[in-house]
Amino acid sequence: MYDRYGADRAALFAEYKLTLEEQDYIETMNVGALFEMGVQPQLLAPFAGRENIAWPDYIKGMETPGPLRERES
Amino acid sequence: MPLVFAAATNHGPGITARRDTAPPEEVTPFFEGWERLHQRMEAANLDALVMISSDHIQNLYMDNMPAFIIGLGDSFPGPTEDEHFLKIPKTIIPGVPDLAASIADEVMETIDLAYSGELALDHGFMVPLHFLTPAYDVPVIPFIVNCMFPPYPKLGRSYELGRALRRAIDKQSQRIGLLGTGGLSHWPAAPLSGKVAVDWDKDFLEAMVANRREDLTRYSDAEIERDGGPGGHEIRSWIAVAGACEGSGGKLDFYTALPSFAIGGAVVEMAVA
Repeated sequence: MYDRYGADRAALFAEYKLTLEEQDYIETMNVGALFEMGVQPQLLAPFAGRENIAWPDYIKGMETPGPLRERES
Repeated sequence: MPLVFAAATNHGPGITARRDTAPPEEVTPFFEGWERLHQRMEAANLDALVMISSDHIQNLYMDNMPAFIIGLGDSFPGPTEDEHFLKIPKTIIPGVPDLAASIADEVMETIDLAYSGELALDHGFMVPLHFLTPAYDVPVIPFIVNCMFPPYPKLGRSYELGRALRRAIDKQSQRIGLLGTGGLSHWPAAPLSGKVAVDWDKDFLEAMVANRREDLTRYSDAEIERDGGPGGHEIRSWIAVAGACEGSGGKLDFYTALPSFAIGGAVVEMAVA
């Protein structure tokens, strides 16, 4: 899956019918927003690791409210 | 030969992934405790180790999520995680398929199991094995309990799994140990990662040491999620070990909060007489 993500991201996004918003959060590695949208954090963490995001930065990103938490607050 | 060794402890990936950056004063007691566990397991001279853990979306996903699954393979690759993340080199852990099949057959007298000949081992198995059988020379029979996606197996069923395992292990001729891994309280990879619910952990451990089934299995899934975090569901592995040692208590070797590893860390060794 990760190899396909690197090779042909657009095709993978289309196959999984991701919205433009979802695609943007993945491409910008907005882990806080992806978590809010329901992505299992134990899928997110290794994905972030593969994208060379250091653990402290990952946790900081998870703690940063994305659009859903901002709307609720 | 009856079960010769039973214990429960942790498996958080931070134990190896973040060991180098954790404050020594925080984590040294944990590693000293694991070294004591290593020595006791070595002294038990095990022919095989039955391990119970959760799967972290490495073998199983929502398209097919068994409550309990046993690995019947003759070997298991692991860890599934990236080596640069987990800091454990990829290897092959030996299995013991005939013994695993015999155990599965007896367990299925009372517990319906899924099985696989192709399980791979994630950090739930590999992190403890890295320290407790570092030569990887003890064959492993892996059990996975669904602690990841609801609906989860009921806590009472985990206790029953343990009882069935004990019955099955006691019928074998080999020297077999049992190790449950996971928990205790933690919020893995989530915004509250690093939080440790010390009182919740100690309450559970007190029930574990006394092996009080009614207390070990009293939590609702919502209570676990709220008070012990999503990773708290992994008490199912511990409860299975308690079930295997029904009628006997255990000894708490240590408990320590490990924010750097994002877990409440402990070892409980159960009496197997």
